Amino acid sequence: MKTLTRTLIVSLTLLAASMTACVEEGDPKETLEPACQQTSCEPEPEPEPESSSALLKGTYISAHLGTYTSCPEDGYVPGAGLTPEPDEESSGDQARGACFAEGDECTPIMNCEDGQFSLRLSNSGDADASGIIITQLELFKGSGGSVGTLPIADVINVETGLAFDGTLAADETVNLRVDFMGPASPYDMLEQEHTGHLEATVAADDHEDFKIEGQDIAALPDVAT
Amino acid sequence: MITLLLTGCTHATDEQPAETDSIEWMLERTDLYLTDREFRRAELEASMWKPELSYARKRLAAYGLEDRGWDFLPLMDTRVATVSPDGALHTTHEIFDGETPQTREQWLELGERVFHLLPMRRDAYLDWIADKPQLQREVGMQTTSDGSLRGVVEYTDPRGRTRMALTCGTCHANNGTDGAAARSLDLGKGRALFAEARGADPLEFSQWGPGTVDVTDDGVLDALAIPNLFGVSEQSHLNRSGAVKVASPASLAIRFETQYIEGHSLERRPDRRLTWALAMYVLSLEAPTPETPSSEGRKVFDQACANCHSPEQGYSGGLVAADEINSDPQASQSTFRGTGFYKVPSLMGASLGGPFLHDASVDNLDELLASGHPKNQQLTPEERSALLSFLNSL
Repeated sequence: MKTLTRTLIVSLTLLAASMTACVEEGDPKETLEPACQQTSCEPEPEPEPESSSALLKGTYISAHLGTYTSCPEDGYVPGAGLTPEPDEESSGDQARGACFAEGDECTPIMNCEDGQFSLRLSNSGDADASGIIITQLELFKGSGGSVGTLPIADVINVETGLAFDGTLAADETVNLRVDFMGPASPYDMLEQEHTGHLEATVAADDHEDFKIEGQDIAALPDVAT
Repeated sequence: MITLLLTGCTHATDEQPAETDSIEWMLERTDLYLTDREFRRAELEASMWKPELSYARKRLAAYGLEDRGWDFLPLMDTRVATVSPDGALHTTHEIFDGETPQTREQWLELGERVFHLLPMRRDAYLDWIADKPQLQREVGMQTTSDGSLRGVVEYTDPRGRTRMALTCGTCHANNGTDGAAARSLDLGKGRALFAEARGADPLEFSQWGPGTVDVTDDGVLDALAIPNLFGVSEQSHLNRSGAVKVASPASLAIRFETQYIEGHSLERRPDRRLTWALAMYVLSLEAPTPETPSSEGRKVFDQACANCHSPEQGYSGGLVAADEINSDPQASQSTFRGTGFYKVPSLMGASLGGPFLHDASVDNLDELLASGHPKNQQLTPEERSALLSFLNSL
């Protein structure tokens, strides 16, 4: 990034110097281009080729911590690892996980739902961006202290419903949904503050990492009224 | 001899009675709501009079913002299907054709469709119970005149899954009367039956009781009575604890809009024309009036009740401190929505029956008056009889 900035400054300085020279040699009332055409002004030196680059920006849209009221074993427990251990008493239809078998369908037990963090990613640079990934999703308490990093399951392109391929063309925008394992006991994790916020870290090839900070977050309500 | 306790009703905010014709107010401001983000933001802020509540914080952090938040969400799908109780027949409906209504009648017609058909939120037990007529009857679910389940629709969620969802009409269209609370609907029992079938503990849900829903996930049992939706245009607050101030009719539209967003897991938002239409429709609902008002009862009412249930406000009022009425104060203390107060509900539709009070703890009006509602009020048998007659005319 610093190299790019330096290149840009040098190029602009050279360009400004040549412009000044031409204007001074021609009729000041003339525009720059005719002035150069009417004089023996040397052709402008070709500016050094600038390296194009992607410029990514993230916008926070929404987030919730999921709901694991009826399936706490599916939620994230700090220090418990990413793969929950099976409940010894569970089996068959009562089996753990977000789903159980009923015919050919997979129906969640009650309203078990993973957490999600929705964001808009835009590329205002002049080059395509690639290798875009969400590297980390960190949960903070309302008072600001970090609670932990939540396991990311998927990053979905909301428009297509497919997994995000990590690329974003210049001038393109995409809405993404990051699915993650929310805390099994959000209010324990947030220490009765009942709120906090998430911070997503985004990385991409040839681009500095950056963060997208969410707003007030809570578990997904079991009943929305 | 009426012994009054007039201090029993206090007001927490400066209530501004709504303008005479709320729908006209909305028709004049349709473009503002649909296109002016700053208008919507200001209306939200005006309605969140307790910004420290988590209900308010979530909305203030995400709604009507220029550079982030729920305004950036994609729109909900408006194609749904109603289903027969045995799950065999599915009838597809397109709720909205994309044309902005131009007249009051068109807005109300769209609002009525939204009321009955737009999915408010999915619920896993609905997927399970939607083809079990016997259990539906146990839960108090109803069917419409065309034979479909009332207030239950099938839709495709943002992840492409076919789901069952509730609509406004599930809880607020009892026996086909739009606005009337479904007093015998026991959504807690529906959840409990499903939990039992899956070997989970049904206790939490089986304790709700008919006509009530626990709307806060705070681990505290404080199920609230499903309200009638009559006289909303005169009410100063929404929610049982009055967490939303009706600063203007737009407060209602924003309350609905954010309700749908939360019901759809913060992944979709409704087209604002739908929530604007729904607000108009709800504001237009009127209770059936079965009897001629008793003039003697009206006199008793004016002396004993009108201080809180103002006739000028559709027999509703502002807020009453929770400890100043004979009622369980627990829901007023919820960290999610508790304001320390309860909303004085409109009595329009009281003749449709109980249970009454915020937690549906009193079965009927006679019992309510006998309890000394709001607190230690004494009526003679003649006064109570006259008052009952009057209340049954509302």
